[in-house]
Amino acid sequence: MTRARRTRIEVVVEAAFRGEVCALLEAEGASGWTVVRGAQGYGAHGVREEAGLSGVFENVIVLTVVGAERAERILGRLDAALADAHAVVLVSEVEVLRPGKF
Amino acid sequence: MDSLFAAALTNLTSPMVLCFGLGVAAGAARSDLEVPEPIARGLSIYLMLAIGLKGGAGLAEAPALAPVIPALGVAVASSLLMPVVAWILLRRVFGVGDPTAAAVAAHYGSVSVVTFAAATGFLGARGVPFEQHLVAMLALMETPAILTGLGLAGAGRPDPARRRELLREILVNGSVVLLLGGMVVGFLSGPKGFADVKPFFVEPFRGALCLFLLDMGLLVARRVRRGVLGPRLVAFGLTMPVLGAAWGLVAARGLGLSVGGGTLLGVLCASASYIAVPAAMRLALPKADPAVYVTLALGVTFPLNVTVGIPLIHAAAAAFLGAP
Repeated sequence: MTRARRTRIEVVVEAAFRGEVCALLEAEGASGWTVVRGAQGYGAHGVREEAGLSGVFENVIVLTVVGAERAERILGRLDAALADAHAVVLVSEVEVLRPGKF
Repeated sequence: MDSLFAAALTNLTSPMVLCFGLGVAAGAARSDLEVPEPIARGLSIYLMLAIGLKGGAGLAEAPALAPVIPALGVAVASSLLMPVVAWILLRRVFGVGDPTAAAVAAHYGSVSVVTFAAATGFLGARGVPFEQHLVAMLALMETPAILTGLGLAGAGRPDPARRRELLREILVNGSVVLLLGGMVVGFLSGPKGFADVKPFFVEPFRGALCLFLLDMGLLVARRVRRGVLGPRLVAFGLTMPVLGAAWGLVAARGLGLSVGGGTLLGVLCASASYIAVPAAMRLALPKADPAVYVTLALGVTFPLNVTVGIPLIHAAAAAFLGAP
């Protein structure tokens, strides 16, 4: 059983910017990501829960796990891309099983 | 005048408007009632495809397609130009600054499919016919206003990734695809083909609309509770539909539309988008305040149109376009 250290990036972002975040991850060569829709909560922009078909008041969580160097590049680009978006970006060191996947 | 109020009153007691009221009341009372999002999405797909199919099948029966071309031109021009009027009003009269003014303006150039559906329900219940190419006008009015909104805000050229996303939103937005695609399907399959699917797409239409409006009522109540709109913005949300409806009726007269067609064009021009345009504006003008533009379109203009707007516009169309 092989375990290894990787960097986990979690972006809680308004649904409108989901496409942009995923495109950025793809461009930086992330081997995969997971989008969790319908994330509800409260923060600087008030209650975030109503879906209302436009998705303007809805959040999603985009989750990816990558190597440390790639993570730095992704974070640099995310910082610029999300300048105008309502978003929270969490970064953590994690251990993964089957490291070849990341 | 009596009949005008009678028409407005009958509309208020239609199941569709009452369901909308029920949703508003439940939302205001903080009931835990909610229409699950996938169902609301499914209902909106059903409504748009039904509108498109019926429009296409109707068009296949139309004696001539020549009057359709200028109507489509008017639709695109209205969507492109109405935001300019809205923007001038917002800035000069109502004191709203950019980029929010530009974003709000874009919403008022675009249209609300549900308001259109409610208006066709209103006309259907009264046996008032309308030209089927109004459906194509509806589809073509959805997104051009987004371009005007961008121009008004002086947004310049967004970066390539965002531009692609916006272009996709304008050209192949889900509602445009469903409405225009539905029309093509309806047109190619003709009245005979349409008869096959009629039991699913025509009879349950107003019932489905009741469910959808129930959800809209819930959304409106929640949005109004959370969005803060000053009196100036509310005044704009009530004024712009009147100007839009007036323009729609003038255009309808120019196009030689019937009373039913004129009512629908008036309703289209009076309505504001709260699905397609908010999503586009959030990307294109991220500094504009969505709590203002969504609340205004959804919380002020939409209820106004669905309750008293449609019957009043219909009465005005009958007076302005009806046989002398």
